[in-house]
Amino acid sequence: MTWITNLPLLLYLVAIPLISMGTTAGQAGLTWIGFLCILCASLITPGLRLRENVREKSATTQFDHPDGDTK
Amino acid sequence: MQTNLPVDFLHWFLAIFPMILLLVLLVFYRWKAAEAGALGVLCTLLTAALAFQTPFNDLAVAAAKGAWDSVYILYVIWPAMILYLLGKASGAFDALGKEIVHFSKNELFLVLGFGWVFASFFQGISGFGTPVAVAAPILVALGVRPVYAVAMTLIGHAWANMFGTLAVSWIAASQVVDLQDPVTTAVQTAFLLAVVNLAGGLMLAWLYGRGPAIRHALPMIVVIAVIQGGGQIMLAGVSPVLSNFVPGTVALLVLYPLSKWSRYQNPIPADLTDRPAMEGNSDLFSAENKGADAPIMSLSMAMFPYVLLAAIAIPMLTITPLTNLSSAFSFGLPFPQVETGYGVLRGAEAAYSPLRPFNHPGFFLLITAAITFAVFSSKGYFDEWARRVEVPKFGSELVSAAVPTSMAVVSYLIMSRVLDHSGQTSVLAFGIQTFTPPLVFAFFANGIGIFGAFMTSSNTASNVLFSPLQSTIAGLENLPQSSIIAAQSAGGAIGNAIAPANAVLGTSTTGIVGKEGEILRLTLPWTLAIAVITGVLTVVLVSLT
Repeated sequence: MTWITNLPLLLYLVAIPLISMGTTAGQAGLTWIGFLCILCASLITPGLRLRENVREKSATTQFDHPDGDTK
Repeated sequence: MQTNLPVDFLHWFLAIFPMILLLVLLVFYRWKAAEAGALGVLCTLLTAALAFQTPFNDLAVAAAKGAWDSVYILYVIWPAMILYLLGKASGAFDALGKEIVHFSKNELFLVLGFGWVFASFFQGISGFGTPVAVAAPILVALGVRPVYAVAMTLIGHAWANMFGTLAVSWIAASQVVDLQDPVTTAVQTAFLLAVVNLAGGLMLAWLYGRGPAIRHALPMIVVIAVIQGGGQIMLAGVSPVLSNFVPGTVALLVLYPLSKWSRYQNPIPADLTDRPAMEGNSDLFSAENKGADAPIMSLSMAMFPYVLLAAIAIPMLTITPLTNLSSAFSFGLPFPQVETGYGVLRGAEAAYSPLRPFNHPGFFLLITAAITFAVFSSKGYFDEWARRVEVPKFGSELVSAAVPTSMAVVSYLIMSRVLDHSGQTSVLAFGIQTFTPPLVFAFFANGIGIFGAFMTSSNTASNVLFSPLQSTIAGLENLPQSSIIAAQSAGGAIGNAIAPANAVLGTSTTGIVGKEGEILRLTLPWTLAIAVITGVLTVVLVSLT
């Protein structure tokens, strides 16, 4: 587990006060930053999963021999 | 409230699409709950913005409210995980298992003791898969076939999911639904779960040795079911937070006097020959005979954290001056009024869902963990246990266990709030109401809970995702909210018996990875049978309420 796998949870939590302050005080900038935190957090975790899938797939195909044997 | 939400097939499909995406990712692509949940958040935000005219501010407020709701639950998850890891790192669980084996020479008594009572006790204090991870390997050591060991613990602890871990799933349901009658809801939920509990005990005995085993174990099953199920019913209306933990602990303690009864003190009767769940000899009995690996601490010391937890939580929740004092400090964040283009309006909040940090299960768990750490350190248990087994670093183990669970909880709560604020929950409910008569819906309400738990392997997540929908449909169908939420909650608990992630946890800790299908073949018939029974009981409750 690396820092990036823990980052989304922090981003979700950081977004709460930013959006609360931004929407109640009418500061669109804060709201945007908070909302971006939510979006980034929601992208990172599935992104890591997809990257892992691609790595696994390439690792499998890399060792596939044309005639079907594997080395 | 007047809205002009479009209730047609396209919008109904778009409203349910995030759930379908979750199902596909979790079940067919085997994504983890946190991964699927995060993508579910994106999908829900997109459908809300593009198909349900939800403006940016509304989306942001809904997402922030969902994330804030999760703080309540994370405040239980992390301290519960800390307490569990302290027990693991000090050898307390090893001692607990070895000491209970000394109680009896009766194999069936021990199988029920660990697979049902011990697993339920663990669900009461920790949850998040630990009952399966801890109890299943002990059953294997007792000589139970690994597939049966995992199936037994899955079934044995299912009933405790709802009010276990100091009622975290109950707290979750209360966060996402404005309960009209919390006491009746809690009591009806506990009633349905009492039936699940009794059925769990009977099923474990049946799996062990069919009819003769049930006959031999029946007095024990009745006593334990009355304590666990009956105790939960009695306490649910008074203090849902303690309603599983207290009876679970009492049931564990009652194993001792039960083991002194000759029926359960001596080996199983000679006529109990057909024992499909068993193979070989018990490692624990042989270890005992050899005198190897003596427990690191006494049974009373292993139980110390849980007795302490009760000693802290019970007065804090029941003595009014203490409750008032600990509830005095609270804080919540303000949010403005928001409205969608379809007229779905959510009012302004000066302090949204205020958190009382000193009158919260998480606080009781933290205090217990701190005292336990001090006591166990002074006794040298951590050092002694680290000399016997390789103990992973506490911090990294905590983070790697708690972060994925927390991510799943946060993302599901954000999804739930966005679905609610955008009116997607209402569209789903309108659609279901159109095609389902009230009593038919009441019968299948627990099925939705089971489905949610099957997808997410969590009673909490099931409640977060589906309680608002169930509540809205109950209102539209003129059904009592308390009975429908009770059915949802019971379903969420039952569904844990067939949840793939729970099965994987069991197979990985018992060395049978890949045999999840065989486990499902044992747990699925029980799940279906108990779904029908609780469905009928929900119809009865609806008719009586």
